Amino acid sequence: MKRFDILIIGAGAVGNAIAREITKNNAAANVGILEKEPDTAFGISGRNSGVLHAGFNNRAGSLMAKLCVQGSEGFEKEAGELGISFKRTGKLVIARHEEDLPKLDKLKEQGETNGTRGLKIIDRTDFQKHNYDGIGIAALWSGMTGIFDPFEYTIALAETSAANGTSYYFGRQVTAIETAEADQGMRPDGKNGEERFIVTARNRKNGETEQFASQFLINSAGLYSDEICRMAGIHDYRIYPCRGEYHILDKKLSGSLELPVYPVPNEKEGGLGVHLTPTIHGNIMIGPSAEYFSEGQEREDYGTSREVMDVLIREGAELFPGIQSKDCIRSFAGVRPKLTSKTQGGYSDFVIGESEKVPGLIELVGIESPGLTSSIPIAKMVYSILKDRIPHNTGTHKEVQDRLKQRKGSQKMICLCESITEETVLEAYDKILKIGAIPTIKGIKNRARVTMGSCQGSFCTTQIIELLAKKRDLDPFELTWNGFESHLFTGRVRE
Amino acid sequence: MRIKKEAVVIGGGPAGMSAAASLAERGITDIVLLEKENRLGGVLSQCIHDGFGLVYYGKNYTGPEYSALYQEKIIENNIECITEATVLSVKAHETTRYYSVITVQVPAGTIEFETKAVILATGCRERGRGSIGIPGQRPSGIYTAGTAQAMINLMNYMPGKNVVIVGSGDIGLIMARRITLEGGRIICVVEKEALPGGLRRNILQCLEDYGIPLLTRATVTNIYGKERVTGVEISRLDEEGNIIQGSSSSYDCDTIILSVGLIPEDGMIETPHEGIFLCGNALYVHDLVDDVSLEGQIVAGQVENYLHALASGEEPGETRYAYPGIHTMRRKRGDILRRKKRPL
Repeated sequence: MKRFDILIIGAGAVGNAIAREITKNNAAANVGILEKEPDTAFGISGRNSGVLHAGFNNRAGSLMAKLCVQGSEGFEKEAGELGISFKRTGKLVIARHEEDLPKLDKLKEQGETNGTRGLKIIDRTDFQKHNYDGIGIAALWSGMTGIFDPFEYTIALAETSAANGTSYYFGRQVTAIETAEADQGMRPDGKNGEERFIVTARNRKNGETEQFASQFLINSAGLYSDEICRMAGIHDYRIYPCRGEYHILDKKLSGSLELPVYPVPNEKEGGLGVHLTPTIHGNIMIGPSAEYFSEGQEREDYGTSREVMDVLIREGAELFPGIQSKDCIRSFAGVRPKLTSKTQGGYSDFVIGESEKVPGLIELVGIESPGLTSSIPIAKMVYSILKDRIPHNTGTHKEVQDRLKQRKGSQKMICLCESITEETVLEAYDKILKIGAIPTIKGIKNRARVTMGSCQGSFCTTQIIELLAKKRDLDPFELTWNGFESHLFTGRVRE
Repeated sequence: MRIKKEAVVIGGGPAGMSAAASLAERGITDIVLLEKENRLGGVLSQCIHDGFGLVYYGKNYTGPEYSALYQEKIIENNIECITEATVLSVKAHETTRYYSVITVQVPAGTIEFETKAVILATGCRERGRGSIGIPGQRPSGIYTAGTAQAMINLMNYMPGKNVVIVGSGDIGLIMARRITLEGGRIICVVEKEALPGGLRRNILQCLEDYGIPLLTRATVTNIYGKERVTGVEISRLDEEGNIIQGSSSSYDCDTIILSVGLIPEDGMIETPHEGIFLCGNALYVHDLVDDVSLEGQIVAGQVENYLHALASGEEPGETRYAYPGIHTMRRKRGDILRRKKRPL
C-alpha cells in the first residue's frame, strides 16, 4: 500500500493546482494524485473556451464570484511563474436588441459588486476601438478578461507539482473509499498507520487493484465528484452533466477576431451562450452549446452531434458574419459538472470545504465555469484548510523553471501547419514521462500542438510515430491515440 | 548570409522534380530543389500501385518507378537538392519586387535564399474530418486515406481490419483494394454525391473487381467508440443532400478512412509579388501524374522567359502572373481542369 499525507483524486486543473500549492509551500508534505486518464488535461480542464473570466457573470456574494475575481487579478504573476502564454485581450458582451440593454447594465453592476475592474458600457461607435466590427447596438467591455491555453496551463501545473515531489498515478480509477470513524485512526495493516482513508483504485493498464492510504483526501474529481463523495458515504450531491460542443476554425481566419465576443447570456441556460473566442494560438473557436444529459447517459460523452454542429455555425455567423462550416478544422465537446438540473437552470455555487460528515475529506463539487480561472484561488483555499494539520513545514520548493530553456535538438519540421520541430515533439514526450503519465498522441498534441493544425495530423501522425520509435525506442504498438485500447494499428502488414 | 540562386524549386515531388530537371535542361543550372522529407518523390513513394505514365510514356509504372525516372534526371543534371528542408516563408525582396527571399528550416537551423524565381511545387493535402463535419466520438482508427497508405506501404503497419471508407476519391478507392489484398475487410465505400469521385478505372479495378459495395448518396452521420472506433452510422441522402429520416443504419467497424477531397497547398506566399510560379497539385489537384510532369516542364519554360526578361532589363511581361499553369493549361487542354463524371 502506498501512503500519503494528502491524496488527491483527479489530475485536472484544480487537482494539479492544489498539489502545486501544497508542495510549493511545504516541502515535507507527501502528496499523491490519482487520475483515471492516461495523462493530465484529458478531461474537462482541457475542454473549454480557454478564457480567463473577469467575474461579472457570477452572482454577487458567491464563491464563484470571489474566486474568479481573485484568479483573474493574479494571473499575470501565475502565468509568469508557470511559464505559459497568456493575453489579456478584454472581452465584449454584445447587446443586439433594445431589450438587451438593461441586461448589460445589470451585468456591469453585478461585476462591480464582485470587484471586477475595467467594466464599461460602450456603444456601437466604440466597437472599432475595441477591435470588433461585427453586429450589435452596444456592448459591455470587460478589460480584465483574457485568453490562455488550458492544456498548457493544466500541464504546467502538473509539471511544477511533480517537480516539487507530488506522486502522480495515471490510469488509476478509484473504485472504493474506506473511511475511519471521526477522530479515530485507521489501522489497515495492523501497524502504526493513522491514515483516515484507504482508497482502492483499478489500474486501467493491467487491470490490477491497488490501494492508497492517506490522512486527507481531496475530491477534485470534476464530473465524478458526486460519485467520489458517495464512495466516502456522502450522498448530498448530484452532478448534472451538461455538454458544450465547439468548432475550431482554420488559422486562415486568424486576425479577424482579436478578443472573445459573447452574446448577452440567457439566465435560464446553463452556460454563457454561444460565443466566439480567439485562442492564444490564433484559431477562432465557436461554442459552446448547452445540452443537459438525460439520466443514465454516460457522463463523459464528448461526442458531437449533427444538429448542434449546424446550430453553432448558424449562431456563430450571427455574431460574426461570414463564418462557414468549411472553415472548421475540428469539432470537440466538453461537459460541465453542474449542480443545477435542466429545470432549475442557471448556476449553483462551487462547493469547497471540508466535509462535516467525513472529517479529512475536502469536497470540491460543482466546479464548472469559472473553475479554470478560479483553480489557483481554489487551491489556496484548500491549502489554508490543511496547512496547520499536515507535517511540519520544513521549507518551500523553488519552482522548477525549465519550460523556456534554450532549444538545441533537431530543428527538422515535423508539423508544417503549426511549425513544430522534431525536438519539440521529443520534448513533449519526455515531459509526459516526467510526470509519470502514459504517452499518447493526444498527450503529445496537447503539449506540442502537432496534429492541431489545418491538416489535423494527416501528414505528421506517421512521422511522430516513426520519430518516437527511432529516437526514444518506443514500440509503435505501445503508443495509443488517447490511452488504453485506443490502438493506432491492428497489426503488422507483413511479419 | 543569403545564398543567391536563379531559381528555387519548393517541393521534391513529381511537379518539383520535373520543373527542376527541365530548368537544368534549359541551361538554368544555378538552382536548388528543397524537399521537406528525407527523400525525393513526394507522395509517389507511397503509391506502390501502377497506372503512372500511361499517357505520356505509354508505359505502366508504379509510383516509385515513376519517381525514379525523375530522380535519375535530377542526378544526371547534377541539381542541388536539400532534403529535410522546410520552407518557413517566401517574401518579397526588400528592394526589388522581382526577387524573393526564402527562409528554410533544416535540422541544424535556418538558411536563407535570395532568388529571382520561385517554383511552388508543394502538392496538396487531404481534407480531414473537421472540414466535412462528421459528428460523433473521437476515438482512434480514423485516418485520411493518404495516412493509411503511408502506414501500410511505408511503415508496415495495418491501420485496421474492418474498414468503412468515407468518400470515393482515388486514394480511398486504391486503399480499399490495398487493405483487401492485405487481409482486411472493406465494409463499404460511402459517397455523398450520386456519382463516385474517383477515376472510372479505379472504381472498376479497386471496388468492382473485389466486390466492395459502393453506397452513393449516403454519408456517415455518427461515429461510435470511446477508445478505438467500434462502428458508424450511415444515412442516406436525398437529391438536395439532406439526410433522409429513418434511413440510418449502424455498421460495426474498427477503422474509418476518409477520402473526401484534396486541397492545394498554396498558402506559402505571404506577400504576393513577382516571380512566383505554381505547378502540379499546388495549383489544382490533378488526376494524372503525367499532367503534373508536363506542367513542371511548362513552368520551367515560363521561368526561363522570366529570367531572360529580367536579364535584358525588360518588363517580365505575361509571365508575371502568379498562376502561369492555369493560363497555359486552359489554352492547351480545356478538359483538364474538371473531370467529367460519368454514371456507372
